[in-house]
Amino acid sequence: MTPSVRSRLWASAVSFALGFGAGNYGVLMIAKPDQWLWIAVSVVLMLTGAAGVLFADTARAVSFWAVLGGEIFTVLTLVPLLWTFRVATTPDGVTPRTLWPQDVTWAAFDGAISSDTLRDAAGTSLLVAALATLVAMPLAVSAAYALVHLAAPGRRWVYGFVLAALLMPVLALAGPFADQLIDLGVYGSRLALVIPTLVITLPLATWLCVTVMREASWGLLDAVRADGATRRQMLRRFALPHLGPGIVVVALLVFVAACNDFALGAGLAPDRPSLPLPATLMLASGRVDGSSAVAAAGLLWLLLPLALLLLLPRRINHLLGRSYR
Amino acid sequence: MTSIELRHLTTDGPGARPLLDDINLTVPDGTTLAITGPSGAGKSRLLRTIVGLEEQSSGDVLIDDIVVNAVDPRGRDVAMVFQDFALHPHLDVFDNLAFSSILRKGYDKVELSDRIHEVAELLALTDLLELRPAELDEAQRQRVALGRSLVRDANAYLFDAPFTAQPERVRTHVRSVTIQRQQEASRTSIFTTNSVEEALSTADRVAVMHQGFIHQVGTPRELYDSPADMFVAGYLGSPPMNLVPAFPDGQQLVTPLGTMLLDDPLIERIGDRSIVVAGIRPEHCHDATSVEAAAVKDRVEFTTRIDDVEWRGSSQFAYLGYEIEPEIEALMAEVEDLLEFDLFQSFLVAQLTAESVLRAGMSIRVVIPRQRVHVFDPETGENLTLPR
Repeated sequence: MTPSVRSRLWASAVSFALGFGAGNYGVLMIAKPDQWLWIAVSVVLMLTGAAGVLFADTARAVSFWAVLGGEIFTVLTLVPLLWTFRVATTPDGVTPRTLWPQDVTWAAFDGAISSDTLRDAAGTSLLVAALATLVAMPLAVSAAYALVHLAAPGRRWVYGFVLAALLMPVLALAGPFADQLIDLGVYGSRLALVIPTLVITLPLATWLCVTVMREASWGLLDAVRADGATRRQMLRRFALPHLGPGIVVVALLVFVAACNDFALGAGLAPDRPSLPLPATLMLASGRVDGSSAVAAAGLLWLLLPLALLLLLPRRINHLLGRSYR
Repeated sequence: MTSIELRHLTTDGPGARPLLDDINLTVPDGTTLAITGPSGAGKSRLLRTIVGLEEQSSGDVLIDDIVVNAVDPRGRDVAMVFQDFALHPHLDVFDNLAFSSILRKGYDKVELSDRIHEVAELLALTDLLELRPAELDEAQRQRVALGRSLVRDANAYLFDAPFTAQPERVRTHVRSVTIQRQQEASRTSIFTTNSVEEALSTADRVAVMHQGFIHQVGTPRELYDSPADMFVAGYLGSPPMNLVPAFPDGQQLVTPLGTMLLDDPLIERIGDRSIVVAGIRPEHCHDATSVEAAAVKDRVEFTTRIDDVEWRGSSQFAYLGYEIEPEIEALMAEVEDLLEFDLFQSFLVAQLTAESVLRAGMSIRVVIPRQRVHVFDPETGENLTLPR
């Protein structure tokens, strides 16, 4: 559907006004290096406005509200990232005052990598997340198969329960879990974190696996059965090619989600070495040398999901429910 | 090779009506059976039950006179073509064709490859062997699904609506090569189809199925000449048989169009019914001035007005309207509701020779051979003309 001329003109006007405002504010109020950022943003916004007017009365399938939204989203995402990068690359003893990086040093990255605290924390996070994912996946796959494929009574309720667990604030569980771990005498051990982390991995994995299972062509399984496949052949010739890739992506997403858990780690681990990385970054910044190192570690930690997204963009997009052309 | 037998096969449905309703069917070794019926008749369900993908509530499936109720699909070894083709998207056509054969140990690679090429040749797939299903059009995909079963060496072959996606021009060809190959290898096959003409022209025997129930099984000729009930009569043939309400009156049967004499045995079978349904095939109606009409000795005749004419080249259809009482119409609507199928019209279709000069509005004298008129019970649908 082509948007109406009126809607495009409104989008142009809004975008132009925003750009004009940002440009003036930047020129009048902001000091030198950052001024250029303000001006760049304002130029892009005002050009969008101009393009909106030019294309207003054409049949091109472009929504300028969407373009404007995309631009604002980009700014809102990139500015915090740029700021984190700025903090991470600021030399010791200097307080960053501008957004644009100046006197870039990479010392903090070296510090973050060589810091024992951060290395232990990263190790804990990865180990706990990997184990929790490993335990959750077989359970989630079977649960999702049952939810999608078996005509069990009450499966809607079970699915609703899975979704509720997914939306539940994990922090609410951290206290009771901590009490239990203290009673069991394992409070503070790395492995003790695995079971509470299942609260995050299990519902998420089940929910995503349900999507995978729903999209599988079960008619094909019937055909494979009618062709006379044994149980093992069904696994190899149907499950592996048709469900395998989806399940691997689910496992990776769940692993990343578990890695990024903050609440459980902060609530259940008193001290290093069992404190996971996100919690360490938040709570233990005093113990790590300076805020630069924390910012640097945060940026390094970001590489994990980034790699995942770059490697499997199509599957992830598809899985998370976006149509992808 | 193998015979298939079904005994009192019943599958309960979610509602009151069963999905499969006490089905008894025998497919002798090496023959082809077509199951035809409107969509939703339970044809696919029946095939899936024979293959072993669905379980019946009661009754037995016998393959080669052995009850296989508890045997899994692998043990039954019955090939099936699915309505949705069920191809593997990640395999090319060759691998799809080979798929079912490589699931069993001890196949000969060279022999299998030869067989695949032979089947591909038969179904015009030779140039497509290296393509994936996504690169094929619907008709080609369906032929791959068909080929996958033909390549396989199974006990019996089930085809669920196997020719629907073929374009009109190719369909007859695909159908004949498939059935021919099956017959040459004397393989037992069952196929389902929506098309009556396909069922009648292709199979050794035809079963007419509706609402999970098999109304009649027989050779195409038996079904056409002596339909067991009103549904079979109304479903077979194109255009279908005219079903006209009629009222027995002593020796006579009074229809809205004309009156015919009844034989004694038929009078006896009609008994004290006050209303019956007369079935007349369009192709049994003749223009009184034509040569065919002159040859008819024992005849029913009536004169009426032509409402409309459709000229078809080889023949022409004359639509002859008639009036029926509202209460009779209500009774017929009730029967249609019960059957969930449109059987009755308020006009009679006559298929006449193309030579007769006919115009809408003119009056025509129609001649029907008396022995060709069927009489049905409107409530049970039973064909009263057939000797019991």
